[in-house]
Amino acid sequence: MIRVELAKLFRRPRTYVIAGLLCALPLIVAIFLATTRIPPPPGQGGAFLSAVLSNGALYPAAAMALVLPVFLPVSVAVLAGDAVAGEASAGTLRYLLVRPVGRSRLLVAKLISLVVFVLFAISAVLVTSYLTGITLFGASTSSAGVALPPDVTSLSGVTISPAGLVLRLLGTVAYIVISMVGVAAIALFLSTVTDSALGAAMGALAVLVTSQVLVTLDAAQAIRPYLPTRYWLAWIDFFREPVLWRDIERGAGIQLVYLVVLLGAAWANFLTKDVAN
Amino acid sequence: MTVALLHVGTGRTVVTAQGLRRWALVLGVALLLAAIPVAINLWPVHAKALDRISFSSSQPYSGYVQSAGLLGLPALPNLTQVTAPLSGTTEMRTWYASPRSWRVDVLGEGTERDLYQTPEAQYSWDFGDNQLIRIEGDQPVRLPRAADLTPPELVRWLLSAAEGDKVTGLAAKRVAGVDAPGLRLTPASPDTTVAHVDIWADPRHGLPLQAEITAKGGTRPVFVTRFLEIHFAAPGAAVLTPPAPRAGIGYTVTEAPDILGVINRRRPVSLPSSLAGYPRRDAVRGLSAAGVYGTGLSSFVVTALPGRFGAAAFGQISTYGQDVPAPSGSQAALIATGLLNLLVVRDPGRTYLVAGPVAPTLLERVATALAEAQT
Amino acid sequence: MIRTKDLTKRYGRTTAVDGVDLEVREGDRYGLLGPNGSGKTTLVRMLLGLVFATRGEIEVLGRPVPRRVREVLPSIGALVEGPGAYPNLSGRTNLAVFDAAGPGGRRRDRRARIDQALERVGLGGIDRRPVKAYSLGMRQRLGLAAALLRPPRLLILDEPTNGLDPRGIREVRDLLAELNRDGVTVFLSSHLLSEIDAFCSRVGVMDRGRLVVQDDLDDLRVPTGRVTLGTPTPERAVALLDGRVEHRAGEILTVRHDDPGALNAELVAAGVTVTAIAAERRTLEEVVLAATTGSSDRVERVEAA
Ligand SMILES: Nc1ncnc2c1ncn2[C@@H]1O[C@H](COP(=O)(O)OP(=O)(O)OP(=O)(O)O)[C@@H](O)[C@H]1O
Ligand SMILES: [Mg+2]
Repeated sequence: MIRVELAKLFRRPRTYVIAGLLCALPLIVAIFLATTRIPPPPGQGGAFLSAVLSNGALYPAAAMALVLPVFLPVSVAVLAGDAVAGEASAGTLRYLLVRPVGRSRLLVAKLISLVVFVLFAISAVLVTSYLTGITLFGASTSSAGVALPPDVTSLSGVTISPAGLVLRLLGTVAYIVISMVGVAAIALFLSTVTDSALGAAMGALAVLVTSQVLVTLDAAQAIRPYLPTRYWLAWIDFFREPVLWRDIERGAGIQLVYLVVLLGAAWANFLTKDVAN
Repeated sequence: MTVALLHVGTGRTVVTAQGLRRWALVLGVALLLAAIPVAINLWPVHAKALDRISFSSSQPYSGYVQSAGLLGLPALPNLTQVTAPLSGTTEMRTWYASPRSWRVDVLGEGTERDLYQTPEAQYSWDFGDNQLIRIEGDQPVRLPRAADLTPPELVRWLLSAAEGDKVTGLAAKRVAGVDAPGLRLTPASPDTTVAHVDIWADPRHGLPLQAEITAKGGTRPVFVTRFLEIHFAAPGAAVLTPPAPRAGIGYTVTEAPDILGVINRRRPVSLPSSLAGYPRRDAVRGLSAAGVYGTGLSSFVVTALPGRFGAAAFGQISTYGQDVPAPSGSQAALIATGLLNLLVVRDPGRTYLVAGPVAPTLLERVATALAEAQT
Repeated sequence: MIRTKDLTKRYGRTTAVDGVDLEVREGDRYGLLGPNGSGKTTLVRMLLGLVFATRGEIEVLGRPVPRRVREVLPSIGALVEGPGAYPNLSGRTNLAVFDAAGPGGRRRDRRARIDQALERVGLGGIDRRPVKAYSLGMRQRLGLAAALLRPPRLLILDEPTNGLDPRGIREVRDLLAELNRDGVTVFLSSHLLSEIDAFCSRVGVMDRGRLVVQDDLDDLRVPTGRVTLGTPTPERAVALLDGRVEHRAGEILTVRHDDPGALNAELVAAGVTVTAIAAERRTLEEVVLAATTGSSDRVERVEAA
């Protein structure tokens, strides 16, 4: 079933369209930055954006900071919202279920295909933004020939070796995948509640926007650590020296809790739900 | 149970019981997970009461600090790094090996400002500015900075100031996973704005883990600094090594890293030896642009600001604050935040900035005294 | 094969299926008739474990449904309320996706099975166009092919000929008949009398959720007590039968009489030439109209009220 879901994912043109859009945003930003060379003031604008002007090898990190807050969660919510509701309204859900595909298996396969989508999209963004960064901003110090990526500066000022950079980017990818799994779980649950894919995606986005607002609200301090978007940007801590694990651990933990609870809710709801559409 | 009827309009079916069991399981797991932080919070705290705090500055530690201030100071030109920690939340990482070797990182979203103390010099690194600064020599006069607000540093300062103040025990509290006994310091002086300072410390090493300052007339603390994580192992050498200057980052060497230091070097002025009945405490030999008056929690700092910068500061403070009567030829304005009060006195020649946790009435007397000392 | 007891399904205030005791026996060609909205699709969904009953028991292929429905589904081919396919994939890929989704269905012979299923429903020469470019009939055929991917023991088909032209309907009927000869039990629902009439051996009639008739088709078509009779000299026959003729259309007469043999003997004895004679039987339409309380329109109006 997982293989089937992956086949469906990679046979749909929209997968590539969304990944393309995700790659396009950093590209557009890079073109403007490279032509004007006006860096955003520190602390404002996307993280790392001022740093990339001096070293293009850090652009993948800046690209992550660009796509993560809005673009990526929106695409995950749309895809996850469509996962069950879309099949229900297209009439394919009932044919999968009489094949028979177990309902729990179907949910898990959907979730895994969403994880694969996030991995695919992020990898595409990483690769394109690395190439963009190197070509448009160049490398600050080509220490060991052209082929090797140059050293980049961590937030703490210490240089990160190419191997270290690769490791930290891998950590970033893993962390973002975990963060998006939380989003996917919310949308997937709503997708089992309603037969409208759009409704499920909208519901998940409403949750995320509410959470984003509450994160910045001092009056909501008490529930802040439990909000799904609270630790979204914690992957930036991979670029501190030494790596600051505190928020990363908490973020991963909270996402796992959301995943367990919402996937559980999706399971409880979907397994006894009438498929009558 | 309404959750089980998410299948709208379907009503009871032969699998409803099954569905309810599944929902019960999910709710159980959710409650269990939600109960973990609650249980940790409610776990009883056991610690003996304290009647004093003594800690050695040789105790190494490292940790994660969060400070939160509710002072609501306006952003003063060139002073945002001072006012921001007092008016908002600051997150810091700190490593401390000895008084000559430590590091404090102020963490921001996507940025970082680090301060390293090495036996030779201090280094400050600002990622946003891409700037490494080597600060040589000791700084006789400098602005307060975020690194002064970690619980050990703040308490060190408060305790050095607290003589003759009343000390009472407080209920213990769990701070950063440590069951920390607490004590309350109530200043005796009538001129201070501080009602009391509450301190919780690690029972084994005496290291302060949390400090809360409550202003007079308030019930909630207006400034809180605490460890969210603490480790008592000595930090490694690599962590305490500042970045090396290299191509691609800015590098400067200075002896006066902040505006106060600059003023102090360029335009030293003489300040009166006593103001409003408070003697000047730290008479640095020679002339200085800043002086501390008074002791303990009823002390205040007076700085003389040069022309243009003084005018800007005066403009800013008089916009946000209220005017204070001053002898003719001078103007004075005051910003009262409840805890920290700011006074600016201006006359044709010079601008004085006065700051401290002291009552506005005292500052009004200081204003008059300063204006008169001028002539 | 299929047995339900007091099967009831309520959607909020509407009762879609009401106390149905269905019985489909091995080898049956079972036709479920009923006007729009009488609950046929809901019944089919319940048999397949897609919708859960409010009350009652279901047993399919000897297993209780929905508890052990997953054990029997692999040997059931199903078509529920129109075909469903991924519109951007080709028909062949769609079948491959569905085949790979379920258990069993070895990869090695998947191609062959897909080709065979497509061949059977008349889509053997299908190209690589995506399903969204298919006509309604092609989609219907594709849906049937999906039901036939794994050799089923039981076919549960909800309106299998929906959207097909007369030739297509005929082809499907022949296909089902062939499968049935090979031992496949066929359970199909329809609101087209002619289709059921032409194919089924056993009929159930639903009306507003209730199964009002369930019997072998032959038993339903009881003689009406009339005989149709052909004669080149209708005037003489009318005169002879004196008042027993109910209807006359040219040389065909409808006569109230229980026994065609006796009538034939009587006519021949009287010297009337008989070219054709047969006992008149009730048509399926009459059976259905007698059993159902109203037309679909009326059901709708009641529902709307
Ligand atoms: N998901 C649903 N929610 C609410 N009511 C429903 C639902 N599905 C069906 N119904 C109602 O149940 C009744 C039976 O519907 P069903 O689709 O089973 O009829 P049908 O016999 O298949 O009709 P048709 O011949 O038009 O296909 C109808 O009154 C319909 O309105
Ligand atoms: Mg129907």
